[in-house]
Amino acid sequence: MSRPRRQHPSLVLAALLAAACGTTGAEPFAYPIAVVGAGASFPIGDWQVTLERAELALGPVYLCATAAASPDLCAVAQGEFAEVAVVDLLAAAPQPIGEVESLAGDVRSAMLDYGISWFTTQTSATAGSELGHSARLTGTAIRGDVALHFDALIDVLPQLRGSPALVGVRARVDDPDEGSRLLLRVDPGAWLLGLDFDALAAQGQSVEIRPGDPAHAAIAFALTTQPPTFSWTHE
Amino acid sequence: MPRPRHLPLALLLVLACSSGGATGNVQVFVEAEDTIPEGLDPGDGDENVVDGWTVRYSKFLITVGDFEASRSSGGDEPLRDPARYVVDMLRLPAGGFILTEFDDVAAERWDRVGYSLPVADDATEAADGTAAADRDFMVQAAYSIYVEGEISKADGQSCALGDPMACTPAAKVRFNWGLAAGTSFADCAGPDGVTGFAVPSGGTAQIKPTIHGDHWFFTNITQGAEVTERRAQWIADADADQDGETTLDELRAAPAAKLFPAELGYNLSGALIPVVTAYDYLEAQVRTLGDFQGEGECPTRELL
Repeated sequence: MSRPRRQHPSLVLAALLAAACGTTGAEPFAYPIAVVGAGASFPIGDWQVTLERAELALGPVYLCATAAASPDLCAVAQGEFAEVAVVDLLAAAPQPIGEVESLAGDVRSAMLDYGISWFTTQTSATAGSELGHSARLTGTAIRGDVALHFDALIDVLPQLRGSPALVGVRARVDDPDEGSRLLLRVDPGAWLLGLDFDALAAQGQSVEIRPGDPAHAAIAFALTTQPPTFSWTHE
Repeated sequence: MPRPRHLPLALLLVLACSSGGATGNVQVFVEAEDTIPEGLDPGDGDENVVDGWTVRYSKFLITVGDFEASRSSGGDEPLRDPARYVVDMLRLPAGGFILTEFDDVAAERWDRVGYSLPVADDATEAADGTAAADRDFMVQAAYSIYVEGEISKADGQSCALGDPMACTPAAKVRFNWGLAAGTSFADCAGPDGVTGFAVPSGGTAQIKPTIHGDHWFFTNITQGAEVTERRAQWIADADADQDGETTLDELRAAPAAKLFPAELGYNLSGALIPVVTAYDYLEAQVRTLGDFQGEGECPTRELL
């Protein structure tokens, strides 16, 4: 897990402002965040796909008080996981990745990066983890006696400087506190639904999927439109 | 004893924040954004279609109702009307369709406002100006929205799923789309971002749930202000048989990743549903059409 420099909306500023105003109800607190992946084997059309490696760089994650999240509407995060964690999506159990630093109040949406951020102080988007990409998915797709091995390195880039790659992600909890637990569920199989395995198999028995490839565009698009699902529990 | 210099101001503020039992009325109109009756034109302006297509609608039916307003501070019972109507947005009465009215309500700010665009059912009525046949059509199909129209461009092309090597001339492409995409909209705020509305003492607040007609041309899912581009090429490119009409079946067969690439500025994060096909994109955008007081937003959207 690495800690990139950041200039995104921060609740540290909010806490300082609250302290300056003498309030006591906005004391920051923290609660754990974990990530879990879905199954490693699934059908896609006529193909049976089995993932052998599924790593995701996740973060930063910003929790917003407004249902519609954008950098304008969520200038001050209600909560944030300000780091980038590389998660093994094939692990059976939820993996703790750190803590959400939070302020009191309801959460109604989220914004996040997949390990590649474009902060206002940067001239271009930069990877913030040792993975160097947003995700790596390798595996085998089998149809009858045809086997296709694939190795995909996926980059999901923020389109605007100062804006996370994903905004307005559905996330909703009323007034979390120190006893709260946030679990993000990720389904890497859903990210492969848009792949044309027939076309990939026509390229050979083993294919590399890299930025610029149509297959990369399909997977990166799916990461954007099928984000992690957020759920909170309370101990 | 020092004189409280700010007492008059404080008194004014207290008076301003209290209705003191005063009441007023509320009229709720359904309004069409200009893009529905007038369509969209190509160009570089804020409301233009940037890829050169002209958009015109010949039919635009919606189901609307379930208006509700309340105050986060409590107080009176919520203003609630469960009535639902099919509304022909191209034949709205002059001044808009009056969805509901409330008399003698507290002259306060009602800061929690919502309504829905549900699927039509047997209890759904035809709005003033809406043909009974259109109402029956929506009820039988259980649609929340039905639109007919065309995009046109003199040198337009239909390129199979966006492949520039597989294009044919397409100066006009028609569409007839009906969807069952019932959605509720809440936390409505005006263009200034202030939630709800204020009822004037002895007067009438005019509230306008506003239906937009351009969201399925957006390159993102609206989050607050409509900071986006409008593109229509995807409709032409989804016309797989290139017969001049893009059907819902063709949209269901079209991978969204090919029609809405990041290279064209698309970012569809924040959609209410997973977007895998072009149909999903259309449905996701339909589920954002409910706005408020013109360009204000109702950011809390839920599937019905």
